[in-house]
Amino acid sequence: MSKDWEPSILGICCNWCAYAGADMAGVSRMQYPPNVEIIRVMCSGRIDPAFILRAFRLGADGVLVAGCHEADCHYVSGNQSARRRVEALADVLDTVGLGRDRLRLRWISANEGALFAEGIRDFVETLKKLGPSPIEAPKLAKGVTTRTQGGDVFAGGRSTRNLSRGELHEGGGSPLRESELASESDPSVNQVDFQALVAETGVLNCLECGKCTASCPVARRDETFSPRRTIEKALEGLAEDIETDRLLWSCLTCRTCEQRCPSGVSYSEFVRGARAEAKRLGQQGRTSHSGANHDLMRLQAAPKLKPNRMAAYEGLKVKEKAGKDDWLYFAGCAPYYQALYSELPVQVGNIPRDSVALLNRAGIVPVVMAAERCCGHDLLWNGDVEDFAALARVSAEAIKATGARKIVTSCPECYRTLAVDFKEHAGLDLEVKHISEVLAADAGALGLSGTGEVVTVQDACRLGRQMGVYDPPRELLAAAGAQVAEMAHTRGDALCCGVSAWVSCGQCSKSMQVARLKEAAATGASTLVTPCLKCSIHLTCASSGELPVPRQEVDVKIMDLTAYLARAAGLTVAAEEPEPAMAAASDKGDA
Amino acid sequence: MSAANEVMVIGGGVCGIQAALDLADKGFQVRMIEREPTIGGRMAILDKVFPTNDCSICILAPKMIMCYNNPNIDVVTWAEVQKVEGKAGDFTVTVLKKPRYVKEEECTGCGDCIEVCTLKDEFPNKWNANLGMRGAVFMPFLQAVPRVAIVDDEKCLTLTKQKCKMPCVRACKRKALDFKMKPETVKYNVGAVIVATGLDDYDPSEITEYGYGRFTNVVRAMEYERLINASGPTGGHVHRFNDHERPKRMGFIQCVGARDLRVDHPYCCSVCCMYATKDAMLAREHYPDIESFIFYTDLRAFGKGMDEYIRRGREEYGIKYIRGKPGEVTEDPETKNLFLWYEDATDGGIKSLEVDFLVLATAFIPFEGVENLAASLGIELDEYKFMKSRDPLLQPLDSTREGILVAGTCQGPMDVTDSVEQGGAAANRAAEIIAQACGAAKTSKKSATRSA
Repeated sequence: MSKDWEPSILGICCNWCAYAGADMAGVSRMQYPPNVEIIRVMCSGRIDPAFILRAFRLGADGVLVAGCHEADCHYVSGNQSARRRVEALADVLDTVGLGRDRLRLRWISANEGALFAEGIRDFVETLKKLGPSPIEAPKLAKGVTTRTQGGDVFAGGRSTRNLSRGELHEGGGSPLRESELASESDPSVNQVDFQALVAETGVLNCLECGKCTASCPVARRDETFSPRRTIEKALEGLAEDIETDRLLWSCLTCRTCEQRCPSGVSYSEFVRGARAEAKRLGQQGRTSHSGANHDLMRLQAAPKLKPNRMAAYEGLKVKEKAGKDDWLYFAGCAPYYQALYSELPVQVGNIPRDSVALLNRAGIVPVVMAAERCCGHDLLWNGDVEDFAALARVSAEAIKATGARKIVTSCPECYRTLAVDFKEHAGLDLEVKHISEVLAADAGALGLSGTGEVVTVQDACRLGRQMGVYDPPRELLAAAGAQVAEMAHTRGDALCCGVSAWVSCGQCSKSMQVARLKEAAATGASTLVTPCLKCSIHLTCASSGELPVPRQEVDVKIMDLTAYLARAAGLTVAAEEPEPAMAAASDKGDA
Repeated sequence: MSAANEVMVIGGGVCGIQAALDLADKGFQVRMIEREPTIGGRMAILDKVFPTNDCSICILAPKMIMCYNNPNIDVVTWAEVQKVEGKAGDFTVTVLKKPRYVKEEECTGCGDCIEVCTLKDEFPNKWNANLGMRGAVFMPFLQAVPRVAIVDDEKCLTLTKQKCKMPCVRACKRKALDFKMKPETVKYNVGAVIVATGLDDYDPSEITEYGYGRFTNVVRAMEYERLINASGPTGGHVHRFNDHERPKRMGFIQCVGARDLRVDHPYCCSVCCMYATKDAMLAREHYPDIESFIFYTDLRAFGKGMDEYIRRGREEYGIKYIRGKPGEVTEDPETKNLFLWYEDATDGGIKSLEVDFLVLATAFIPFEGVENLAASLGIELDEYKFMKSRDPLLQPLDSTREGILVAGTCQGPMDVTDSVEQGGAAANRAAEIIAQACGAAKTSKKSATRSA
C-alpha cells in the first residue's frame, strides 16, 4: 500500500434524507475527509445491487448506501428494500472476497449532518485498515481527464458524475477499457471478421426454409424477431444491420432452432460472435438485472481477489490438492444467486453442499477451490469476450494449480464453458462432466430411497441441446423411485426457461416461463426438477409473481436436481425446505 | 451351362426385372436372386406412380409374371448372396436359399393355410407398411410372385416351440407344407452380376419435432401409400387412427430426414416433391372436398412432364403449396388434430395450420445390412452407404469391382423411370462385359497356343 493511498468511496444517498443530511454537513461547514463522491437517487429503494457491484468493479474501495430512517421513507418502504438488498449483497461480498465491511448502510435524516460527517470519517478509517480494494480500477484510456486524488472517486478513473449519468444505468460492458475506447474511435464494421463468422457458423448452408423461425420460442412471441431473417441479412453481408440491431440481444441462444435446422447453421454461435462484434463497435447490448450479474463476474477477474467458498462444504469431505484420479468439483454461482435473488423463493444456495454430499456418498472426495471464480459463461454469451477471457485465464490457472485432471460441475453452464470455451480462450483441456453423469454411473451407491412421486424434468439448454446430456438426470430420478412424466416439449425439444446469460428478460421470457410451467403442471407431476440453477431461478420468478393464468394451471414445485437427490438420499434435513404457509401453520412442531 | 452365357441379377424390383427381361431377350440365362419371398420390390406396394398416375401394381404385375415365367430367367426368391469369387466373365456366386417351409412347386397360392393359421393376423405385415396384419404363414401381398405362401420361422409355433396342432398342414390339399426344409447353399457360375437391391425408407422418429410415433395421425409416405391403396389394409379408405373418420385437411411435410445434415442425409430424396403431389391428387380423387397443404423446401420437379404435374396439382386438384418447413408439429390432445407451426414466407409471421392428418415425406436410405452385401460382393459403398459407381459420370453403372454392375436405387434415390432405364442399361453393360471377357479369353487362348 503506498503511503499516500486514500480510499475512494461511492456514496449513494436518497434525495429526501441522506443527501439532505450530507448537504447539511456541507452548509454547516462540518469537516469530513474528501474521499467520498455522492450520487443522489430519489430513494434508497432505487439502489440496484448493480450500482454497488459496478462501483466495486470499477475499483471503489467502499460503498455507502444511505437513506431515510426506518418508518421515515418518503415512499413508505423503499428503505426496507434497500436494507434487504444491502444485507444480501453483504453476503455476496463476503463470498466473493471483498468482505462485507466495504459496504455500509446508514440511515441519515435531513438534519443529521453531523451523523453523515461522522459516518464518512469512520468509514474512511475502516477502509484504511482494510487497505485498497483487491480490484484494480480499469486502466485509464487516453484523453480521459483525471482529477486529483481525494476528489477522485475511482483512482484514476472517470468521475462518478459521468458514471451516474451513463454507465450505472446502462447494462453495458466495460466502457473504460483502453482497447475498447480505442476501438470506439474506429467504429466501423469489420467485414473480414464478419465473413469469417458467417463461414464458421454454417450460415452459407442456409436453405431459407424458415424452420428456425418457426421453431423459435422468441419469434413466436415477438414477430419482429426472426432467426431466418437475420441469417438472410448475414448472407447479404449486412453486418452493421445485424450488429446494431437491438434484436441481436433477444436470442436466447437456447439452440432450439439449431436442433431443428436441417442445414447445420449454428445460429447460437453466430449470435455469440455477432454480439462480440457488436460490443467491439461500442454497442451496449442488453442485460437483465441492470447488469449486476455481469459485473459480479467481471470483478472476479481481479487476480488479487480471494473468494472464500469453503463455508458451503463444512463437515463434508473435500480436498485441496488433486491426486491422479481426483475430481475437481466446480460449484458455480449458486451462493451468489441465492443471495441476490433472496427476495424470491429461490432454492439454489445449497446446490454446492448437496452436490458434494452426493459425491461423498458416491465415494468421491472432490477437490474444491476456496477461491473458485465464476466460469464467465454469461460474459461470453453477452459478447464480452475480453472480460470472459481475462476471467477464464485466472480460473484456468487456479484449476491447473489443484493438479486435477477432471472436473465435475453442478451447473450446465459451467459444464459447457469449462468443457468447450476454456479450451479456446484459456488453454485448459480437461475432462469435464456434469454431476448427473458422474452420479448416474453408479446410482446404486447413493442409497436413494423411493420418493414414489411423479416428477418432470426441465432439460436445460446448455446441458441438453449443447452438451447432449438427457438421460442421466432421468436415470437418477428413476433410481430415487420417482416416476418421470415427460412434458409436451421434452429433451431436444424442451422449452427454454426464457432467459439465458442474463441478457434479456421481459414479456417474452415471462410468457415462455408460464408456458413451461403449464406444461410441467399438465403432466400431473408434483415437482419440476431442473438440473440448472438458472432454470430454477427463472421459473421460480415466474411462478411466484403475478400470473396471467389461474395458479392451479402452473402449480408445480420447482427443485434443483441435487436438492431432490440429496433429499432422497437422506442428506438434507427436512426443515431446510420452507413449506407453504398453510403447511407451516399445521406443522406438528417437530422441526 | 457356361458362365459366359449367364448373368446374375440381385434384387427383383422393377430395375432388376427390367435387367433380367432385357438379358433374357438377348438370349442370356439369368439367375435372379431376391432376398424377400416375392419379387416386385418397392414399386409393388405403391398405389399409383407419377407422372402418369398409373396404377403401380397394374403395370408392374405383368412384368413380374413375365420375368417369373421366362424360360431364360430362374427366379430364386427368399435367398441371399453370400460370396462372389472369381472375376468378370467367370464369377462363382454362393447363394443361401432360406427354407420357406412351403414347396414352391406344389403351392398354388390358394391361401387355405393362411386362413387357418393359429396365429392368423397376429403380426404386422411389412408389405402393408406394418399397418395390416398377417399370420405365421402368409403371402406378402395379393399379387406376390411366385404366388407361394411362406412360413415365418421366427413366429411359427411349430418351428419355434413345436407347440401347434398344425391346421395349415391339414388344410393344404397339395401337401405343400414341409417343416423339415433346411437352408441350402447353392453355387452359381455367372459371367456378370447386376446389383439392383433397392433402398429403404427412413423412420423419422428421431425427427422429434414432427411427432412421428408420438402423435396419432402422423404417418410416413410409405404408410400413406398403403392406406390409399385399394389392396391395402383399409381398402383404400384413408382414415384417422383415433376416430376412423376420413381426413378433410391433410398436411404434407417434405424433406423429412432428407437434405438434412443432422441425420447425415444431405442428399435430396429426389422423388418426394412428386409423390407428395401424387398423394394429394389421389386424396382429392377419393374425396373431392379434401384440402391438401404441401410444405416444401424447394419444388424439384426436374423430369419430363413433372413441372406440368405440379401445375396440375395446383390448378386442377387445388393443392396448396407452402414454401418453408414447419418448425414443429403439436397435437390437440382432444381431437388429435395437428398444428403445423411455420413461418409464412409472404409476411414473415409465424402461423399455425390445423390439419387432421399429416404425411411426412421421408428420406430414402440404403437398406439395413447393405454393408454385409457389399462385403460379400467385394464392392465399395459411397459415404451414405449407397453402392458406389466407378465413375458417376461416364461409368455410372460399373461398381468398383470389374464385372459387377450397380443399377437402380441401390445407387441412390431415383424414380421408377430412372430405375427402369438403369435396369435396361445394366443389361446391355452386362452383355458387353461378357463379350469382352469371352473375347479376352479367346485372345489369351490363342496367344497361349502360339507361345506353346
